[in-house]
Amino acid sequence: MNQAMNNKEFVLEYLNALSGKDKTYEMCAHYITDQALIEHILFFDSAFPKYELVAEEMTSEGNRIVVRARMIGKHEGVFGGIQPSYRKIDLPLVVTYTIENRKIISHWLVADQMALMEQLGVERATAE
Amino acid sequence: MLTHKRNGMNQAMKNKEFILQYYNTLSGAIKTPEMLQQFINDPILIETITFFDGAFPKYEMTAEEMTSEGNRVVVRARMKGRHEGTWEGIMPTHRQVEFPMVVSYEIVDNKIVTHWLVADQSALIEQLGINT
Repeated sequence: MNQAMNNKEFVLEYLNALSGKDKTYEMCAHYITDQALIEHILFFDSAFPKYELVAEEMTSEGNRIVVRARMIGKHEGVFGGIQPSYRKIDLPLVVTYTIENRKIISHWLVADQMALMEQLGVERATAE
Repeated sequence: MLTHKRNGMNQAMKNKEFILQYYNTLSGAIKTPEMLQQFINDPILIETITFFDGAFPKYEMTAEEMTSEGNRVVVRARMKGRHEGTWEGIMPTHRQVEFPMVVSYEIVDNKIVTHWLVADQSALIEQLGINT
C-alpha cells in the first residue's frame, strides 16, 4: 500500500516537473533510467514543444503504476515527416511505469495515433 | 489496518480472477447478449463488444498484464481477429488483425459497471491495408 502511494506521489512529482516545460535530457534522467522513454519524450518535445501531460487516473500495484493521461500540445516541429501545422492537439494515452528506487526503469505506452493524425489534419485514404 | 489491507488485496485478486474468467468465456466465441450480460452492467461496453464482434467475428482477447487497485482492473490486452464485417465504413477485407489496447474495468459484485478503453486504431487501419 505504502509502496503504491509513494509511487503515485513520485509519478505526480515527475509529471509536474516535465509538464509544460522544455524537456531536457538532464531533467528526464533525474526521474528515468529507461533510455527508450527518454528518447521518446525528447522526440515528442521537439515536435510539440513544452507539451503538457495531465494525469486523469492512476492505478498502482506493486512497483507498477498505470496512468491514464492526456497529452496537450501544439505541433511546432516536424513529426513523422509532417511539417509543423501549428495545430493544438489533445490526445488520450495510457502509460505504465515500473519504478525502482524513485526511478522509472521501464515503461509501455498505448495512444491512439489515428486520433493524433486526425487532429493534425492528415486525411485517411484507401490503398488502391 | 492490516485486515483492511488484506481485504483490499483479496478484492484485487478476486477482480483479476473475475476478469480472467470473463476473457476466457468471450475470447474466440460469438459474443451473445446473454453471455455479455452475465459479466457486464455497462451498456456502452456491451455495445462496443457487439459492434466489434460483428466486424471481427469471434475475435480473441488475451490479457498480457493486469494491474489492480480497489475495484479497478487495468488490462493490457491483445485483440486478434479477422475482418469479416463492415468496420467504420470499410468493407470486409478478410485480413487478420492483431493489435494492443488497454481496457480498464470497474467491478462491483462480480459485474463490470464501467470501463474505458484506449487502442491504437492506426495499427488496425494499417493492417486492413488502408493508408493514412
